[in-house]
Amino acid sequence: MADHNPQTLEDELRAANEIVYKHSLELARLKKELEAMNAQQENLLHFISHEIKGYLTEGQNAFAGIVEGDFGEAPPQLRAIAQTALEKMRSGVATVMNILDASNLKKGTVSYKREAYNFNVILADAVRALQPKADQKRLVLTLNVDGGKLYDAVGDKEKIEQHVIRNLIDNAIRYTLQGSISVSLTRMGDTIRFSVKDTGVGVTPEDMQRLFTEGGHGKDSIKVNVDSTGYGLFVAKQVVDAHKGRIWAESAGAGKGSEFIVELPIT
Amino acid sequence: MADLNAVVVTIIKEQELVIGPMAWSEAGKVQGLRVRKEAASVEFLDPDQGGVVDRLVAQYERLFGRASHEVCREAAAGLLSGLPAAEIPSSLR
Repeated sequence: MADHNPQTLEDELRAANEIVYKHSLELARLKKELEAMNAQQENLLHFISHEIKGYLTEGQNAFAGIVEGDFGEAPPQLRAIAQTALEKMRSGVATVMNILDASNLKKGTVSYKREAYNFNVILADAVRALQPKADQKRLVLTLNVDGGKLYDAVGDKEKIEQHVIRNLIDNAIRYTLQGSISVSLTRMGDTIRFSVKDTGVGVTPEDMQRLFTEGGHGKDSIKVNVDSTGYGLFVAKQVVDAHKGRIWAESAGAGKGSEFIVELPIT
Repeated sequence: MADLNAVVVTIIKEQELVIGPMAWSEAGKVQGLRVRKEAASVEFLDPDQGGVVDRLVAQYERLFGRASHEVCREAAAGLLSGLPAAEIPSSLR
């Protein structure tokens, strides 16, 4: 027969409580340390990104000057080299900006404008701007707008265009090796629905889980897109969330293409 | 004179990091202390505020042992530094 002396049981319970408390205390201290380290890292990332952006922008301006003849007519070979360097610099600035934006969003230091804009107009502009990039890869990029509907909305036009629309189309181009990208726009009640469907590398169920998380690019995405920072979709989601919208992805799996869908309220 | 109101809230909040909302419910059982978790505030119902603080520390220690006493002491240290020992509740000296 086991000993059921109440005093013994109480002592045992107290001892167990103490052990659990000590473990919880350890966890609480580790959590504090981790939070402090995260904050430090965040500040460092912000500082470094900011500095690098400055250097890249200076380089970008110098190469742009050579390409545009600001320092006199450059020999064709030098112009070609400067043009390539300029594109790399622009890509570098865009990458750093992406990281800086993600950092600012996390810090909560981003403010959103509320201005009237037409979704259809900024979508068409984005498709037009990215058309050469799709052409370069021989991809068919199409825009299908459900006609007869109004696409006037209120929100931060610049952030929606830059971080949501351009980001999704640019991603589709990067992750599609051949085939097509179909951009669609429709309106359902007071909601604008925009989607980007591609015949690209697709998304595995495993990658789907971390798609919109910070630094959450797919396991093998770096093989297809060497410039992937993993911040693009994270930033896009932050912007969509701030507008009280929804963003999600659908894919039948690896190699089977994907579709990214965004729903935004018009006000 | 030490602001024992702030000391008690700091202790409860520090305990909350370890044991969660239970920190407030246990503090609510201390005689002479009224807690308002929503406002993160407390009120002394007993003029012997030092005695109330000692009972609060004992309440946690009774359940969670010596380690919880140390947590209380560390949490309050910043608020009590520089005060004469006589003004500091005995459990936190």
